[in-house]
Amino acid sequence: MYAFLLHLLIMAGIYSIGTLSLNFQVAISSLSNFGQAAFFAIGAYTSALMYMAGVPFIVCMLAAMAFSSVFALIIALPAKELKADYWAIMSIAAAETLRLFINNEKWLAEGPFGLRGIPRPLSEFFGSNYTLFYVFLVAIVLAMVYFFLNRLIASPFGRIMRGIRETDILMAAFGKNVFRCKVIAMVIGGMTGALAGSLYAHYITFISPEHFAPTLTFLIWTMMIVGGQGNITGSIVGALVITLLHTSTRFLKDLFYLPTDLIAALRTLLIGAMIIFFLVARPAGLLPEKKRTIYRPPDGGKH
Amino acid sequence: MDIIQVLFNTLTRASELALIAISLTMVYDLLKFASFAQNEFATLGAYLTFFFAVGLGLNLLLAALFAVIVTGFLGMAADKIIFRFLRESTAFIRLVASIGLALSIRSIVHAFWGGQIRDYGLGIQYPVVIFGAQITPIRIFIVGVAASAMIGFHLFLHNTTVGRAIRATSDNKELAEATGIDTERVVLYVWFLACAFAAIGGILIGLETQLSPNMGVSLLLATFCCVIVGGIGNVYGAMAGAFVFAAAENFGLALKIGVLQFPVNYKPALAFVVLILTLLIRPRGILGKAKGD
Repeated sequence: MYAFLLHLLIMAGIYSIGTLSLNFQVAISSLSNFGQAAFFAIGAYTSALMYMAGVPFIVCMLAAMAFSSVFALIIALPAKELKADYWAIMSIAAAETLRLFINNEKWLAEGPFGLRGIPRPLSEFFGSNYTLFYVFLVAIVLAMVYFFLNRLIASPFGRIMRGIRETDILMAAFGKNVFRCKVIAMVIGGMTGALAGSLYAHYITFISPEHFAPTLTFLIWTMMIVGGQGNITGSIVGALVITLLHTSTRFLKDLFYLPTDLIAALRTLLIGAMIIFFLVARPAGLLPEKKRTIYRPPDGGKH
Repeated sequence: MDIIQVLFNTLTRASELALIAISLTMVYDLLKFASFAQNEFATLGAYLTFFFAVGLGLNLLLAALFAVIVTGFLGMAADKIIFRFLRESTAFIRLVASIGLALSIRSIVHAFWGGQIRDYGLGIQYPVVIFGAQITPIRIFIVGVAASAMIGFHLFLHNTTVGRAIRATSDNKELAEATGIDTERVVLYVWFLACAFAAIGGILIGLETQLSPNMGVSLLLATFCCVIVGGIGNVYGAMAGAFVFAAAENFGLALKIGVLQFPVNYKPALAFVVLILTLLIRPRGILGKAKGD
């Protein structure tokens, strides 16, 4: 049970980072990104391959962020011309093409067989307490991402992004370069997403293109919707709730003797049903976005 | 390159894709959102046919007919349960809800029929040689069914009261309401038709190849590509887009310039390439409406 709890915390922490990244892109910056799994993939593969080549862990993470930001930059470019739903389809197509590339180019990372036995950083140092150490590592990274995004959302840049979300024409009229802001937001989202991927690779120690299918993107979307779009504390709550539901389906196997295949199907059904339920019944999520009121007229704004 | 063979392969592929693309574009035209669920309705239609034909032992044609009707009603149910409540939301929320629906349908299919590959038990198809091209009779049947479905749909849209009501509502909802059309009912008809069309598409794919829970989602990008190439929201555009896309796929893979050839293992990426080219050259598609129209 203790081991399961630690596993749950680590996975929830990793997904939280991914969800924070998505929340910043989608809800704060109105970038309907359906390629979140690609950032995970880039983070995971870059970090794993470089660490296996003997590069220090910190450098691996930074490189993962750098590669991911390049990919973010590329998929952000068409956002200038395209409507949100077109761009959403484009982003999922780009992520799938990247996955196809990893799958086909076997010289790079073993193709469909995936990378096995990815070494864990500092594992000889912590020995049997390694999982506990990893909880702290994930927590530290999560805290850094959380405070960074929190400051960023409160900053003038965050205000511009929310302004663009509400009415982009008005922000353009104020002389803000809407497109440039969106590209920056996408790059920030891509970098934080890669961090989650890197942590994932070194914890699970096995990655293959199957891990980064669109299902992962939808899982993170569910976490964001359940937690509350636009509320980054909500993202952590959403990630925790969905990870708990998602990982505890394994107990169904022991309780009801269900086949593994059926469990996998039920797991996906859970994601789908949660998306529908929350969008219909509670679209603002568990923790709705707090909208700051800058000025409230004395009569309550009845005019 | 055997031109007749490639052309016929294109025609078969276009027939299957066009039906799902029409389904997608119909929902987009009326409800103004890109639905990720239509491909899953195709999967559902194919599996329901499998259930009626192999499970209950009905005649395959009769089973397909039942499956198409049931899928249509399930589409209406999806509107009643989910999309009715999201009429006032943004298009993007409806898109995300359709992803939730897509995941639910796929996992229900997976839970009921398992992940293994199924088929309708037609046995091995022996090709006939026409103009030097190897053509299986089932593929002629597929092209025939798709063509008659499309012609039937065209006649339906232009010659029946319901068809005219659908066109009026998609043109201008307020005006249609003002003339006494019950637009909520029109929406239900469209869900029925769209999901029935998706089901036919799914059944045709099942006839030619085989069934798996991922058969719909694996065509997701291809379907979106057809719709965008043809002009989103335009039924005839979806047909044209499907043909252009299928041609790009089949000719692209068959074409050899010296040693240069498109790598076969990158076939799924062709959808992405065609998509990018369309968005760069003509974002509104072949038959799409101009901006502000």
